[in-house]
Amino acid sequence: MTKRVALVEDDSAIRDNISDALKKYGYEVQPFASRPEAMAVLKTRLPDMAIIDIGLGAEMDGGFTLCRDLRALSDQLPIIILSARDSDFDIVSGLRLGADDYLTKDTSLPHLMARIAALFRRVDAFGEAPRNEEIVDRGELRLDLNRLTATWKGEPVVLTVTEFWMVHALVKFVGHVKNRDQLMGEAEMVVDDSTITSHMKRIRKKFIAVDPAFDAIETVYGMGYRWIV
Amino acid sequence: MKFLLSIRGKLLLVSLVLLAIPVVGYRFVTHMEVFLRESQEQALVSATRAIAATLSERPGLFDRREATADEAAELERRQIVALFGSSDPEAVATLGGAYQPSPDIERILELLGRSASRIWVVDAASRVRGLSGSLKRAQSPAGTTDADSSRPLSRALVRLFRLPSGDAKDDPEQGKRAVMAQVDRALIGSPSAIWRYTRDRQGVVLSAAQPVWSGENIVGAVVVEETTGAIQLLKLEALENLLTITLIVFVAGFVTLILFAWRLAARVRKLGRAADAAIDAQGRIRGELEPSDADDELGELSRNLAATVRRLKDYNQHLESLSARLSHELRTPVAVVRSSLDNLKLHPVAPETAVYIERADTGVKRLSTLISRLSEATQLERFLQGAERETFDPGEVIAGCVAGYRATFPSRIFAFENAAEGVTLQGVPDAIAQLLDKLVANAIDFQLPETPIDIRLARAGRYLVLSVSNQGPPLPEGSAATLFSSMVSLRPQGPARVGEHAADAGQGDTAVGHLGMGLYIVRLIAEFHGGFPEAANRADGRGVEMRAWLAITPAG
Repeated sequence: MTKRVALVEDDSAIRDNISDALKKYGYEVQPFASRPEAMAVLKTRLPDMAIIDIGLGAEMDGGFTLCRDLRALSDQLPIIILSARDSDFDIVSGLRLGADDYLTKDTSLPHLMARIAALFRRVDAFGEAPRNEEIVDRGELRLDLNRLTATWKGEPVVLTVTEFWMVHALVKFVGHVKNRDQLMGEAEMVVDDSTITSHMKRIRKKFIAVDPAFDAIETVYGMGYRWIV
Repeated sequence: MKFLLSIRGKLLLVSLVLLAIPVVGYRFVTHMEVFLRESQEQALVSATRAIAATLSERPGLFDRREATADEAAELERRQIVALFGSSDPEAVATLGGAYQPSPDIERILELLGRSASRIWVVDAASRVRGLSGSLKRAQSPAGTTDADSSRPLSRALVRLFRLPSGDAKDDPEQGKRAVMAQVDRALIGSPSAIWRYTRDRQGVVLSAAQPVWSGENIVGAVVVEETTGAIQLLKLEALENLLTITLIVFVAGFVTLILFAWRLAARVRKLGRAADAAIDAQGRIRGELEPSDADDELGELSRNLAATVRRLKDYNQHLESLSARLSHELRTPVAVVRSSLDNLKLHPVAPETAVYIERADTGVKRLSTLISRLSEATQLERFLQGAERETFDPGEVIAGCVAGYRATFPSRIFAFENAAEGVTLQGVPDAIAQLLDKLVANAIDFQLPETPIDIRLARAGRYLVLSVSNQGPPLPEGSAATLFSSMVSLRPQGPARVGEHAADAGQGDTAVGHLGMGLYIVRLIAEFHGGFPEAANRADGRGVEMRAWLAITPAG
């Protein structure tokens, strides 16, 4: 079955470009230019995924509102925020409102397609039984590479796709320092240093929320981060 | 000297204008005195003339026979008369043989006598035929003279103004000659009035002489003398009053002016301090200026300054947010180009076309890196706002960073010296690492090949100083203050340098050009840690040293 992706983007050139690419990758695209237009159609029939820009025409934070409304309609709907804004504040807001991933418009189309595919894979994998070779166990941590889910001491840790790949990059070689470039390469993202820092902070917080004694991620200043067991 | 140049000092000098009051007053009093003296002289001359006329009407009063006495006796009498006339009013001078009073003349003189004057009549043979009155009495007409002169102010004035006018003879010998000449002139028919000092020089005596006629002959002379004591006293009193009033006015004016100047200077200083505090050494607006609500010019100046600072602050904020807004605005068109290129790559294209797509792609990637760099400072500001301060060992952070640099730039030499072991900072270690990144990136750009980059941690008072120095060209003159501002770059522009740095692959900073944000970020982080950045040429003159001062115990 063809996956149906809703694309809400006010810039027509970008909207058309992404639509073309999505079609080429075999998705069905529902392009919208504004929040009310998208909401009117989507609330009657939810898409398989929504890609939303934050600034939608006159609505500065229209994307956030749309993200919240869509999340209210469905817990399962994968949402990606694609924005020109790259500030920590916007990223945190987007993820807090229920977006599964946050990408900046610097992201290349192939990268965007890879992220969309990864997100679909995670959603699809929920129903299937995990295959052993796709599981990474590092002490108390278990990563399911198929579903892109993580558990710590048996408790699920809800990570975004970006965060998941960062954790994966860290635990692939326990004790090795991963610098920022390596982490960005693993997560296939283009962000600056301070965003990596805040990602790592958020990952730590998520683990600490599950286990207050969590201290497996160590900062090596000037070099990067490493996972210690 | 400094005090005199201040507003207070200047107003003090200006208040000396008040000294004109006593000067003007003194001139007025002097004029008054001259006027009084002239009228006294005229009165005396008329009195003398009246006495002379009275005596002239009685020719029998002068005994003609006795006028033919011997010459020697007459000369002696003349001397005695002159001596008597010029003697002090207080002195006990006697006429001796020269005094040959005529009861008739004395009686007339008694009748015509004036209370404050001495009248004497001399006949042609220099015999004093009549004497009436005394100058002594004139000395204390008001009865208050003694009391007055005991006051220190009066005494000072007497000493100050003892010489009122210049035409009085002051030599005792001269005084004697003057009296003699006056009498002689009168005896030959010429009336006169002269001013002279008393011998003790305490007073001035006015004397008028008139000839006494008997038919066609001069039979004698009338001399009327008066001291000017009354006028002197009047003048003293006037001067005393003047001085007292002037002193009061002067002190009152002076105190008022000083208070006024004090307040003015205090307000100006307060305004100056506030203006100074509003803008820091780098020209950055630190805070608002509290506008004064006073209605005068200073209040207006304060309001104007406050408005200027506010406008300047708005403008600065506009400039500082410009890069962030610019980067945001540029992102969308760049995304359009990028996604178009990406789509184009999905189509089969001829190899010769693919080259251009590849180039366009590289260009867009550089552009987008530049754009993220533009917003880096704004990002950092937001990051710092939300960051939690923790206590950490900066030496550890910096040692880690240096190890990272050695790994990233194997061809370069990094020397690290930690002279502040055990010092801990309160802040964000990641930010400190970022600060060092920027300082090192800067040092790398200006470093001479084969020379080390020296990184040093040292303690200076309540600051921790992180310095990064490199050998290379010195800072341009006068650039140190603006170096840490947003969008200021002092790099020489040119393809040669860009090419040289492009060799350091992997460092976006050097490969894609500069926007002057790096050192601005250093400043933001240093300020967040209660410190400030500093740039200076090295003491040995061979390069530049950048320092970040970080407060060891941040305020609050």
